[in-house]
Amino acid sequence: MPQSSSKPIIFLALLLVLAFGGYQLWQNFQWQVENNQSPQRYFTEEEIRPDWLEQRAQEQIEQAKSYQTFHDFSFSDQLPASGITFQHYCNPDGAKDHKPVHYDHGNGLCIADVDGDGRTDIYLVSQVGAGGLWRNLGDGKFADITPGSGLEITAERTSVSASFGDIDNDGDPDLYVSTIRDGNFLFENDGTGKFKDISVDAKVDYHGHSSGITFVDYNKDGLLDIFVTNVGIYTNGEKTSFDLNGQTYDYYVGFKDGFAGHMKPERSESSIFYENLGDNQFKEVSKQLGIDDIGWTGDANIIDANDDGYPDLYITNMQGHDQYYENDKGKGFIDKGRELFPKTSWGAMSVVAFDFDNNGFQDIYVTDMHSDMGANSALGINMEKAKVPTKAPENYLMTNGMSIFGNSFFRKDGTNQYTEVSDTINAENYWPWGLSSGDLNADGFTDVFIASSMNYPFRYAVNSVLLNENGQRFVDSEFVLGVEPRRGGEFAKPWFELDCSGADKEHRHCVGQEGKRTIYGALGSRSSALFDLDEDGDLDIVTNEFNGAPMVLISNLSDKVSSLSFLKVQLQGSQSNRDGLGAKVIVEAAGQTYTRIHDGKSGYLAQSSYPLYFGLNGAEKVDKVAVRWPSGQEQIIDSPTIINGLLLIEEPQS
Amino acid sequence: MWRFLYILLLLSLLSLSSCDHWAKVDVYELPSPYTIEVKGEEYEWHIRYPGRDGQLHTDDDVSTQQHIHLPENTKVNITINSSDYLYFLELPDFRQIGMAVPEMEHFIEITTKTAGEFKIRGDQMCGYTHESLYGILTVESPRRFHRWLAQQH
Repeated sequence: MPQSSSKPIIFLALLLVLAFGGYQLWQNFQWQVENNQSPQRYFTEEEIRPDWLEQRAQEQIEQAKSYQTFHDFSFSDQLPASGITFQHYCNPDGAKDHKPVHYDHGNGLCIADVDGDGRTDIYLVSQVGAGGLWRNLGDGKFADITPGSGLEITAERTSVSASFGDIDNDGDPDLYVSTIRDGNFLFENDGTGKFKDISVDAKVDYHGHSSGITFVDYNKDGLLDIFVTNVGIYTNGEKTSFDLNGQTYDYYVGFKDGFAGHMKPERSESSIFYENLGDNQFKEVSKQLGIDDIGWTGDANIIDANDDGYPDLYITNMQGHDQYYENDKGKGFIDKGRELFPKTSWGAMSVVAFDFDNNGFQDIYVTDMHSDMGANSALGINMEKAKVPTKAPENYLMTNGMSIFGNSFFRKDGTNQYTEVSDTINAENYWPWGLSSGDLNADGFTDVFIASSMNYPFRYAVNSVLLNENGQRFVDSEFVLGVEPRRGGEFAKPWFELDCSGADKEHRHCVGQEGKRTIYGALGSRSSALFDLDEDGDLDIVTNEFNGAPMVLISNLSDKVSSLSFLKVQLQGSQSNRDGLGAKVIVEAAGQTYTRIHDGKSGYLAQSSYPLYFGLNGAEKVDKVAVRWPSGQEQIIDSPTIINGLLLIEEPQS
Repeated sequence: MWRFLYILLLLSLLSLSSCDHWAKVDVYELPSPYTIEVKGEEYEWHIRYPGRDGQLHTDDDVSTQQHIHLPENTKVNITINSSDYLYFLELPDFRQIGMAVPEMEHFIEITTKTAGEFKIRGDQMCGYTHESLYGILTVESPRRFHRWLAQQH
């Protein structure tokens, strides 16, 4: 029995013991709280629902009251009315067996008049199954002419992108389709929209991990050469099969560490330059021309930084430095990447050149997807317009600290002189893929649509429309113009089904679950083309989505603006390549000068050989059109009688 | 009442004394830097410590998951790799981030100072966010560290 004098000691000792124990418990509790904050999940429709969308829409609409550029018009997704029923499908690496690998970069589209009826048709690429060729019937209607077109065989391979180009100068667009490992396709068009596979005979059936295609006449011999970008080896060579819509398809399984490919030299895959020898014969001349692109390249574009009239190449790298090759007067290419562009977007996808401020120089806009991915989906909604505070170490980045972690915009200040101004002009956006440029409001300044967002297992993000405010800055306009929210307010769709009591019980989404389970994924675009789809005088937008149906965004600008004025310019080369790719066109109207380079590109994985579209800001007539053809010929058309229509310009024979 | 408190105190002291806190601990000198391995696998961190031989990947290695233990005032070389995906290993209190890449070894170096508990943050590059990649780094006295290490065998 303790004595009363020892009671305080016992009490104190007990208090100390309890305090020590309590402190340990509190420490443990604190750690549990900090480390068990459940990360946001995006597997059900409710989890994906973007509750921030409405607020952002209201903020943008409010902000637009101060915009100094015309924005009183809108787009509406007329997919159902268009008759297009194309559906893009992804393989299981983008769904049930999801891996962080380049399959989720999705696919492109391209447009051209494939049958010579004067209307622009669309070819949409699917990762799984055949691409879809859609004939423009006029008035915004389309018909599926894939069956019997010869393009059905694309279903046998995993496709990536496609580009039209008239390789034999016979007046119809031929088609190159890039694929994964089983050989790229080159199809010759017979002029009626029927295609013949000439890949093997033409010697362009490369088997690898190809991506964007660029047609370019590098030596001005009048024949379109082909630059095929290759990403790098991101599949392991093992083929597996799966069923979709009653058909069995196979694909090469992606590496689980696909995005470390640039750290592993054995996985690099050089991009390929094919010289067109004529008679539909090509020869690989990459090394011979001095092109040694072993970056993780998704696309490229022709740029003329030194203004010598020869097309140079800007080559994007989605995991490192972009490259720039100056064309040495058609004799070869000289690597001037770090000299002209010491810092580039680390995770570049699209590269598009246009004259942002109508000063006659072609500026360069590069979208950067992979930097945004490095920050993972946790990057806050309100951080989307900021450059990414990347946490990747230099041994992963491998660019000596010379990277931009977000979109870049290189303003051209003179021959071979560029200044990066992306943040000054509001060129940043989030999760961007393909960037298409065009004068959406026909005010004479080039605007952009950026196909954006990821899908399963990430959150929803918006596509971006950036209207050009008088060559001073871009203003956010996707909500103002009705591009967001999407048709019917859609933001997600069922992505795949699981049988948690059966075959899929080991799947990660089946932990603690029984029975059938539907996993949802966010909607997201990959590529786009801008053209006057319904021939009413304004630019419309067609997208290709990842694992979804395209958007056919029809503009009502022509209904809203009675004084709408524009000029479409269709080029037809003779000494130059028939498409006139590489030509520079200058239009003068009402004291303004508008310059376009006909590069045929439409951002990441997309291509367009559409007539060049010049918005003329209400001008009543065109004063002059000047063309510098790839051949070097200068052609001037004074006071053309056409406005608000199509001007066909044929290159003189000599 | 006091009888109850007295019994409670005795039991508490008994509990403390019965744990190996007072047990003999073999505290030996660690190589400098002290090298451990952190491997990402199936969205978890697997940690490997050298045993008495000071060498990794020998029979006396100690393996744990998620929770890193280190002695205080020690220069530590953390070898990072992965057996499947790409992961970020982040030790924010030490301002260090490393990449775990299959078939490659990367390193981060830290110097532990005072004892305490610090966060481990982990991300799968371009994929799911996994709470299982969050963990804790305990820095403790050499005596406690060696006792903990011995207990893992």
